[in-house]
Amino acid sequence: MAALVTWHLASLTTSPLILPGPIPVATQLVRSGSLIMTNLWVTLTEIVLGFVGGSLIGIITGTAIAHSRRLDGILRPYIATSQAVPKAALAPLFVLWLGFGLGPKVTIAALISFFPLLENTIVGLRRVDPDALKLFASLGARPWQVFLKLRLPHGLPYILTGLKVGVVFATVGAVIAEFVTANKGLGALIMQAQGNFDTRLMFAVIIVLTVMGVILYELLQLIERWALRTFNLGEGHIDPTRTEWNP
Amino acid sequence: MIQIQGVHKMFDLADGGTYALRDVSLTIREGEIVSLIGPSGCGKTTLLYCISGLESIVKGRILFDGTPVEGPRKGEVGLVFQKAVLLDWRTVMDNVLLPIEVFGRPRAHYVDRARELIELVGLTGFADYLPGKLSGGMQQRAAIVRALIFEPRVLLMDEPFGALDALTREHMNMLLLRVWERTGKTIVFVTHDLEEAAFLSDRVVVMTSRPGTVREIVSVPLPRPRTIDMRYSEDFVRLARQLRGLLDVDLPTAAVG
Repeated sequence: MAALVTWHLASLTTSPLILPGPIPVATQLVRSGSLIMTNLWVTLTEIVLGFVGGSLIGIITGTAIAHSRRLDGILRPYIATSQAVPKAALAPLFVLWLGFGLGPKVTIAALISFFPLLENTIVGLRRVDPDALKLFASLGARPWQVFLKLRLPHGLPYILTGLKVGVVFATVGAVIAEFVTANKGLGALIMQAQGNFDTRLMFAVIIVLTVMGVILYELLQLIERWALRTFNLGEGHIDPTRTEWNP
Repeated sequence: MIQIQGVHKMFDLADGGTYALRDVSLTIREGEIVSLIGPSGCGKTTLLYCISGLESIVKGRILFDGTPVEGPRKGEVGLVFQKAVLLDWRTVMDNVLLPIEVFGRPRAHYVDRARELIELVGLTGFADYLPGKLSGGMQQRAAIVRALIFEPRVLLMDEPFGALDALTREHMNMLLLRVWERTGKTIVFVTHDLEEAAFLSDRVVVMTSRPGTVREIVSVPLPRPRTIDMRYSEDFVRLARQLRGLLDVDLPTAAVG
């Protein structure tokens, strides 16, 4: 509430072209409702497809790497290098390769959400108690038993945390990709509004994007809570030493 | 019967080929409690894992009733670690039945036995608790039940009560003896606490520091069943002093390391 009041007061002292007040923005939001909704579906589709694809590939690759030192040695340098590249900078390239449709946006969203899942899957599956591994070995457990009964339950909280980060990253990815290429989607709508000096519409779209991001995050938070409760698991952690997750 | 015959074990390559264990020979009889004590780094834990089959040896043999140990075998040894190593997401009952699941045997056949053992170690009423809700001593009791559930031929215990406070440790010693009297299991027990070793064991194996060899095997003259009072008896004090003397031979070098 205080933030809204501050915003309103600030808007009175500035040109509406720079900072429109909350009331004009809200009016715009209602008036452009159907336009925003149409574009929202486009962006949401890109996010969901990219997020699901990116996380699946991240989890699968992470599982493979966690189980094989050799694979880790081979793939790690490539993955580290690819992460150093700012993914947003790849957007024009993907347009060249994949055209102007959903392709490049989904790809960017997937690429960005891939990494937190990869990293957290590896950490979660690997960082099990060495004594627990000895216990399983002493029982003559097969690798799939160690995976299902030890590594997966231990890693699940980490993977769930990765999913929460991943969905936010996918949102960033999809919007950035739309900035570069699209004529549809909320990112494209922001660019159009900018071109028309329609600052009110820009604010309206940003608000919609924010709300959508929060809802997606909360949705995964709910899934996480449910899963942790159902399987009696503790909280997962993101490895704080990892900083190469920049989109 | 477990026969350990002229066993040698090398450290990993980084150590440049020194022996962790050198020419260790020892015979453990059926139903006996044998403790391994010695200065830290003497290879007592290594020897335990060699018996379990989790560690390989370079020379010598370890025989289980005449059959050589060549890697871990299902259902032969029950391991108990210093930490309880329970899976946090499983209840006590589910933790205890883990070996049964791994063996692919029907869980239902073992539930009654699990309940009996849970009662024997004094965890009645806690079968449906998650490990996080239990104290360290209670977790370790669950770990003992997990090691016993599949009727292993030998219980291998690696400083199982080392992380517990003195009083709890004493309780756990009594509990272990009660379990042993009931089940008659052969127990190999690694500890750095010579009084614990003396109190529990039929024989105490004193090892030297690197390379680990058997310095002496001391028979414990105390009668069974053991009672807390025996800890203050003359025989016990004399035994403790003897063990102490055998360990102190290593002190000058141990103090430097």
